[in-house]
Amino acid sequence: MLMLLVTAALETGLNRLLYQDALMKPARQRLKGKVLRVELAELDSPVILVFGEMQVDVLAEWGSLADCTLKTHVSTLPALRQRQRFAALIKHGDLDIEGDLQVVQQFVALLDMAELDPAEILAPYLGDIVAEGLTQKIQAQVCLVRRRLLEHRVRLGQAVSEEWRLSPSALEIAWFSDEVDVMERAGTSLVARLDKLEQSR
Amino acid sequence: MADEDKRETTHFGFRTVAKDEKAVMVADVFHSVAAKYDLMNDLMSFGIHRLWKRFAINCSGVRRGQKVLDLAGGTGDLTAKFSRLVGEDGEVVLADINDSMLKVGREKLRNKGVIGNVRYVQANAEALPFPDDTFDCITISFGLRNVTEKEQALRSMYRVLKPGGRLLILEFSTPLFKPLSKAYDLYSFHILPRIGEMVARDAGSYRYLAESIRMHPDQETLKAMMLDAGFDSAEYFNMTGGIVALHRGYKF
Repeated sequence: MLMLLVTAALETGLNRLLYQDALMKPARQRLKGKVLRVELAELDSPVILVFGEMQVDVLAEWGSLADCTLKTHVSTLPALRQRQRFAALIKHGDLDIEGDLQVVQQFVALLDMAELDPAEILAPYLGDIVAEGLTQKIQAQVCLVRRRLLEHRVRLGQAVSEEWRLSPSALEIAWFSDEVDVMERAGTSLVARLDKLEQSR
Repeated sequence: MADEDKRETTHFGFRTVAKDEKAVMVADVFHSVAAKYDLMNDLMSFGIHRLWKRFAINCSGVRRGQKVLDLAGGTGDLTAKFSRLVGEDGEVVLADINDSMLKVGREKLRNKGVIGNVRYVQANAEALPFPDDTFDCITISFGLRNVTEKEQALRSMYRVLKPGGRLLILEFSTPLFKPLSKAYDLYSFHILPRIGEMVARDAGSYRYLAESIRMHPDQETLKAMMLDAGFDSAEYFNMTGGIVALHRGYKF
């Protein structure tokens, strides 16, 4: 049941994101008819993306071979947006690709083109003006909450280091690091002089 | 009068009717609900019917180039998906005995751009108008309980299925747990007809729906019927506590 929900949610999300914008049609055409199988270590079943002209279908089972099979971890997925990192990920064993590599690359390129605008999603249900107004208000609130959180973090940090003296401040840590560096250099120099002395004897 | 007594009977919901009358009565029900069929499905099942159908598609093993029969396909939910999965080289036949349902299904699919590899056929499941060994997969979703001669329909499906092909029957079944069964009865006999009355202005059809579900064979009986019709490796998967079951059988 969980896999059904996952595939249903993925299908709805991907279709909304990738199959609404007419400007993305050429990029979608390159994937038309292709099948991408994604095997995530965290999930028991694979996720199969069947790309069509009008929409992508997401399944948990597929009767035949996929054009491309991608085996990875959920945590590695964000890194796939940088195509130049594929080789490094494969080398480190975080990513395994079988079949046509272009399918993954074209899918990543399609995802790159997608822009998520909540106002656009809400507009058919609420109307353009309400959707835009609501989205702006929510975005302003999110910004405010983020700013407040940042302020709280800074204030808490100052209280811990300056007022309560529970931990050293950033300047003190920097000074301490410099002192450690000086001591390390002095130590290295002393070792070198001792070596020289031993050789001269 | 004596002739009337000798007529073979069957059930129409909880009523006993002559076999030749049932098809007409079922047709009337579906003529009445066709226009609001999709909306009512979503309302009645709280949208869960989409997950049941998704599970059926996952279990179908359908792939590129295959030929699929979506029997009693109604408004074409499964057909739309299969059409994309089989691709341009494959073919999907949406068949329904009821022309109103078929018209609604055809209009909906064409509006969605599902064209090219879909054919529409008005057909009776008991006597399918296709040659032997035609389809790789047959699905019948929430349709078998409305068929008068279920055994005959299963034999007909077996005949048109290719060797190696599979039949999937998605249908309401018998809940596995007593408390769930009680709640389900309350919902289907008291709430469901009211929703039908409010939305589709037709409480009777939705009362029939609830009654026909109770009269439908349970999981094990349907499995035995599939085996009797010739299917191999018949199995079933319960969903939502047995309210719905997916039966799958193969022709080897």
